[in-house]
Amino acid sequence: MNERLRNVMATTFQVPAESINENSSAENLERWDSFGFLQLITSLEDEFGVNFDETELLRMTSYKTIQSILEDKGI
Amino acid sequence: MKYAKYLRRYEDRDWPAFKQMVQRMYGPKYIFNNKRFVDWQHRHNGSPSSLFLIDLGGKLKGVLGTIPVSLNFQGRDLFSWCYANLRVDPELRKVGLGVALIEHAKAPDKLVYGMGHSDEMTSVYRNLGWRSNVLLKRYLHVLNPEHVERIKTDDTPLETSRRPLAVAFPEGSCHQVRFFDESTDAFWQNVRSKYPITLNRYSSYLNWRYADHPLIPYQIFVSKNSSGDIEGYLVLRVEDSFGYRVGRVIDFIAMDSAETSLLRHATCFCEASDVDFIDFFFSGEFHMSALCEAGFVSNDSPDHKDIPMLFNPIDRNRKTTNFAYFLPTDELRSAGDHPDQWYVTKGDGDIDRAY
Repeated sequence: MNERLRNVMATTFQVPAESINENSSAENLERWDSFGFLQLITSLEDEFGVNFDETELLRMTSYKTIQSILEDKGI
Repeated sequence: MKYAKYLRRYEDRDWPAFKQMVQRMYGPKYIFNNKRFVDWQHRHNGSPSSLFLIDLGGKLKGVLGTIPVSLNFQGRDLFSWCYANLRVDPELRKVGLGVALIEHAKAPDKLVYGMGHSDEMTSVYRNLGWRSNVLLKRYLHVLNPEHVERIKTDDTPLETSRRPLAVAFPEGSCHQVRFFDESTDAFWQNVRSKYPITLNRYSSYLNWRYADHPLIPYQIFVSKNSSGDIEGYLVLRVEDSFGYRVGRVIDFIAMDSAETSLLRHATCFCEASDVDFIDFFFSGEFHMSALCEAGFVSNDSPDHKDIPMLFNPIDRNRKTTNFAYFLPTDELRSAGDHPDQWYVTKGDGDIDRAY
């Protein structure tokens, strides 16, 4: 799951996959803005076959929180 | 659409919570703290409510203000929306709520435009299909060189006494008026082809925007020919800020024959009113010769580039403001995706504030 998550984030934010790590977040990824976030969500839902509800979306501000929410969904 | 359940229109009962949100997100001096202003701009503008909110279980976390407008779009009237204000609680940024507000407020197939967005929003708007990187020009006319030299480098308030504003200022063909009468509509029909894409300046709109503004006392100058027909108007706001007095040209529409005389008349008013300098923000290539004839100079010039646009406190980084537009159909994109054909002034936004 971690590699797929890294790849989705890297593709969305147009950075090398190697640069995505547990510290990656809205604060340090240049292309992570309001629009980029929604692109990320669409890509994650496609990649993992899940849907995120609004309370989950509001928490998804970093690699770690996304990873945790995906784990909660059994990914 | 993501977040749809959190998005709704402002209602009267929201005022207490809305004001709390505004104070938290903008500070106590922001114009949205004034209910008269909010009601005027978003409740009494021809729409039942044109203020959209992010409501997280009773807690307001963001706002988008919109204004219904009629555009002159290449000769025809086009109902459109002007986005005047977008803000999301800092704790909830970068999670798509701003985009959700923008998309939620957008009426299908309607042109939308707005001005004064942040650098961060420039890329967001661009990614949503807007043209978002258009800067307004700024022209200045220095009336008090000593004060203007000081403001280029000194960040402390200027302490000086000021004369009151000039009153009842008729001169030649130009007159100061309190509102726009119905003859303005015939004038607008005659002059609108000069401005390919711009707000329709019908008297009903102009009176709502300037004469009936609940907080700002605009100075309105009208030029008439010998037959009494309107040939142009200019709207000015005199701003006292940080000890300086600035004349802001907020709106200016004129036939070629009246451009220079109106600008000179406004300049005379400002000289009589102890104004330090006049400025005018606009898009496109409109009125350029008349501005130069009347003594205005672009802020790109070496003598003017260090004159700040924002005071209290003085901001030495921002030099101008921007605007963005979204054209929803191929037909509109083909006819309207030409920034130089857009005539936008500070009067288009709600950013025309004294701070």
